[in-house]
Amino acid sequence: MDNSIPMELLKFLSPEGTLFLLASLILLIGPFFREKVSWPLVSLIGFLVSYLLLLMQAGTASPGDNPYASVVLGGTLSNLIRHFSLGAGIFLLFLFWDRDRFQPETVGLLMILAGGSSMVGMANDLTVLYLGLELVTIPSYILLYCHGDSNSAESTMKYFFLSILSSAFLLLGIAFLYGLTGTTNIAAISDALLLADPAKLFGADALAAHRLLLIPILGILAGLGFKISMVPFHFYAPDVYQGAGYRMSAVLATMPKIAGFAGLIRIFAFALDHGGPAPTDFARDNIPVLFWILAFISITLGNLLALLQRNIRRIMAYSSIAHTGYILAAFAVASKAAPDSAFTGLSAAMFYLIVYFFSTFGIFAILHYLEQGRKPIRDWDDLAGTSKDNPVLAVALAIFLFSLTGIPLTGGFLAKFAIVYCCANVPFTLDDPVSWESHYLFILLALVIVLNAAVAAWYYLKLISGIFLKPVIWLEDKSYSFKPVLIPILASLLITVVLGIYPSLLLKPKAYQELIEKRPIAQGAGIHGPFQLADGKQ
Amino acid sequence: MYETASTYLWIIPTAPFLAGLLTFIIGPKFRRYSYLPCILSGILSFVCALIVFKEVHSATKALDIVNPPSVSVSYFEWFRTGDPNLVGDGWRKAGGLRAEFSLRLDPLSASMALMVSFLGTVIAFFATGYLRDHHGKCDPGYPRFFAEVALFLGSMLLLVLADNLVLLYAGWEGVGLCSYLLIGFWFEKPSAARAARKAFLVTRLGDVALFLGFAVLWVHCGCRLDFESILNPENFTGGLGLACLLLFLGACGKSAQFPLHVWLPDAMEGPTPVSALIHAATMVTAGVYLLARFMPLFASVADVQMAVTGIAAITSLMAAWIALFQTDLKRILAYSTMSQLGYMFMALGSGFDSKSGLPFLAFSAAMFHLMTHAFFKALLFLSAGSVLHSMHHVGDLRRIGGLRKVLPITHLAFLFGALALAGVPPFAGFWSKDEILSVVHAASGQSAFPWFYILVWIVGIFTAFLTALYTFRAYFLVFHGPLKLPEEVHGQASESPWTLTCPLIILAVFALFAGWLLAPDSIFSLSSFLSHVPGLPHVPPQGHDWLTVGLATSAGLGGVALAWFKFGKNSGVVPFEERTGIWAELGKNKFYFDELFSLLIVHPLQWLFLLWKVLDHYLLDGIVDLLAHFPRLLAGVFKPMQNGLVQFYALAMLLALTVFLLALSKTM
Repeated sequence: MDNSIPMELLKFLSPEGTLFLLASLILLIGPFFREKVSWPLVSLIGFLVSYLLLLMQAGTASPGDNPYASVVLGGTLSNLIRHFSLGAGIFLLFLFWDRDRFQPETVGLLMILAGGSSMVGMANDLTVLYLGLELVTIPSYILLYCHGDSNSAESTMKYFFLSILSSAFLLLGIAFLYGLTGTTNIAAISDALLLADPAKLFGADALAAHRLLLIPILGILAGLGFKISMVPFHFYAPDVYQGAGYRMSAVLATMPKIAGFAGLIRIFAFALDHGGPAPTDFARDNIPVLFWILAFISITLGNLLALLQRNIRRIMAYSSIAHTGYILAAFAVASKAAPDSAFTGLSAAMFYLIVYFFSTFGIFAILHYLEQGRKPIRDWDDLAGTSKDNPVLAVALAIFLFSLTGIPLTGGFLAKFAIVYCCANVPFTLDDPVSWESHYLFILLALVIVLNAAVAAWYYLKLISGIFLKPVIWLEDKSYSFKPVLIPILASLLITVVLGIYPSLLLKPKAYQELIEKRPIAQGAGIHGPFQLADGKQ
Repeated sequence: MYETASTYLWIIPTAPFLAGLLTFIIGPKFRRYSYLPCILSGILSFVCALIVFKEVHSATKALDIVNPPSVSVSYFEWFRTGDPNLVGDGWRKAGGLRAEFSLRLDPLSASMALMVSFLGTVIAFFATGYLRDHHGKCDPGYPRFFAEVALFLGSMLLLVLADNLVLLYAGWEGVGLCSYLLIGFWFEKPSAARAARKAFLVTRLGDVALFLGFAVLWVHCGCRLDFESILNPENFTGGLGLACLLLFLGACGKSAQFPLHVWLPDAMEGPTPVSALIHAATMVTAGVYLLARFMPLFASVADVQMAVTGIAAITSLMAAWIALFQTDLKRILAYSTMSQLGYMFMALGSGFDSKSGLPFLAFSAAMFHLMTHAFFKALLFLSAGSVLHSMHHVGDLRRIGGLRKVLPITHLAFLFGALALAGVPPFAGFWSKDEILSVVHAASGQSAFPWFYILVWIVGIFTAFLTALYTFRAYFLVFHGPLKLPEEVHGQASESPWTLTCPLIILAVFALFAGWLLAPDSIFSLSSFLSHVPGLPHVPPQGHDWLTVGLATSAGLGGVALAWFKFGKNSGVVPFEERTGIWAELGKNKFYFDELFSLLIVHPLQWLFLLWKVLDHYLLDGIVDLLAHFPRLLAGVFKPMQNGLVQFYALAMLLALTVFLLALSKTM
């Protein structure tokens, strides 16, 4: 490798680079000019410039031809996640438009958050992935402390401690993965895990190698599972959301999830790919099983516990856990879905994530907006009278809730439909009992999803009944002024409805066929751990 | 390929639909003008339908390859689950479910759309005046009415233009919902609320059958939903008979055929324009349209077709008989609608043997009668509405009479409608009724059970006699004899305002000319236009069946003459409604169908309900409560885990990780 500055790489990273540079600048100078400058505007301009830079390199492949030498990857998936992260950053920025004490810090940190998530999406190296994830996590501690309500300190501490623990799990996993394969390049690791024949290396003790592989897989799942609030790493979510206020709940329910799912796809790509090189038995059998179990418990537990809540943010926290479960179900089925189906597991998962973002953002943003100039909205009965004094937003709120429930003509319906369809249509062959087994297991998962959607309808409809049907005990005189946050709310509403009516914008048949970039398998590129390529060419 | 037409086609159902939503939102603010979106969108739909119709018509004339007479225009695809590149057997493997917004462009849908949008606009215009009292004050539900009518029009147009089962079903349910809302328009009247509920529940029975029928079609047609593949019997692997029977049951519910007819007379509780639009001209003919659309399938199952004809004959005879003994003007018209719908089904049921020309003849005769009937029945209803409007909503034949002088325009309009209904030449009904009876007659020659069709034919001719009799009984009682005004009007009755009479005049012209214009040998012949609908072998129009024409016409004229003799010349005879004897009692009491239903269905159900209530209270409630509480109970088990202690959370995460690690390494 020559030591000249890799111009191509710099150009590829310029959108995130712009964000980070500007964010650092804002964090440095901002505190001295708190009141003088409209910081959100500065940040918005930064976001737009970065977005422009991203659009300019639309469709370019990875910097450098060799995926084994590059730390980042281009392609459909990274493009999608980079666009999505930046867009989500812009949306969230509008929530913090109001002047307050920590404004420059807030907008700067939001930019870092978005850039970090975007970095995870294109990472092709475990170090870059970890860096991106930490760039999402660490700013959120500070944001949480600055913007929580009365007991924000408590929830910040909870989030901080548990998040550190989960990062430790993740690092443990990464370290083991490095130990096993001798490389941090994800492409090379995938090849090693796919093609290595441990029997040749360990002789009779191939089982030991696989047991060893369990540690990194579970460690990484635990670390990323915390970010996406997957059961059993979900405990922080309800407590933290409750103490965090609507704006910070919106950040925590979306940004870390985008990054976490992007990370999952990046690391486990070899097990999610359909029609790629035939995976080893271990990957084929065990990773989908793990996802299956995690999806099952996340969906069920999230929905069940949401039933018991009265506090809206706790309900939303549990519902976000359940939605994580639905996406995990799509991951579980990704390598099994019928080849002639219009949806692949991954495209369904990405579609779900996008729809989930807009609906959740819409709900939190509207509730934040409604809180202005009246007593705080905590429990669902605090919503009483919303339909009277702000009918338009009440209807919008109902549409977002319908989307999360999965009512037709909102994005949520097709998102759930695609996942259920993939699960219910796992093909099987008559002479292969293992394939029957997986067929029936996934039908069971489809049933679980459908039943849980019914359970979830109960608490979403409870919220809607709070908005429309609950009588107002005393009328407050409320007047709502225009706020910039209405712009992204309107945009989310539009996107939610448009995706419900015209899903093929994002859910085209075979849209993400190349979601996982196919590459020629290089023989033993940089792999020198126990999981070397079987033919031993090094 | 139909560039202009496909540009305008989608506007036809969309415009009224949007107008309906608009009226719901801003209607209450502009009460007096809330009819505007409905009327304007109706006109827009009508103009678009006209453009579409014209293009289809010129295409059928030119018969070129570029413009085939039947195309499906797909506007957008909602979603599909299969790979579009796989066709044929692959669809089944892929479980290809394709939901798209695609409309059908062929002579059948074009003529239906034209008729529906025209009548919808005219009748909505009538309603603008009808729903105001004599001082011009609007009904409190004025905006609601026009919103619902516009939604109804949108759904009905969607129903007739749909190109796949999903859209057809959406339109079908949409019109059902709007019908329910509009029957119960004056929901503060208990009878209206009850009638609305009855209509909804009874038609729902049919809807369930229809849904099952669609499901059978879907399963047996390789999971396809579009008409192109559904309407070809060769694509089916079986299940056609069952599917057709279920579709017919669905049609029975919507088109008020025996035994699901009980809701239609009660539906007259709705405002009269609603009765004219929904319960005479458009929605109740949806069943006829459905069977006509699916004629290629029905033609291949002769047994089901016999059931269709049989039910139709029973319905038309029974309804005509009941109509003879009714005393309420609108109810007479309701039974007459039922009877005329029976005629249409009678024709449709005669189309068997898909190789012969019969299916096409049956199809075109039914559609012909559907069109003419829509015009003259709408005319009759609107005239009745005009009478009711001036009589302060008294429609009892025993309390009004001799209105000839008071309501001259209404009188003439009603007379035209009555002549058309009675089948007096050259009015509309004459042409189409003869077509139907000729088809039945022709069917008897080709069926394996000729006596059955002969019997139906005789029933049809006898019903034609009864039709003329009950129609002119109503006519003479309302408009002739000494002047009788109900006390509600305080002796001051005058002709209705121009908003009411204008539509009457337009429709009266149609009642006079429509039949003659659309008859098979005329230049605007409906049947030669419809012959371009694919799937039915077309035969050139044969000579008239003079026997049928002669018999049916003399039956009609005989009915008119008898009515004049009994009710017109001297009104001294015992009125029908006061006669006794078994047939009269049957007629007066609507063949005791309501009682029968209440004895056979409602009462047992009530007893069952009582039993159920006891069971429910003690046993099922417990189970249901348990089921409903089960998720909460289960949640209660997990709740203690969320105890807020961060050290516990960390421990739980670590434990979970360990458990996973141990469990997975054990299973390997």
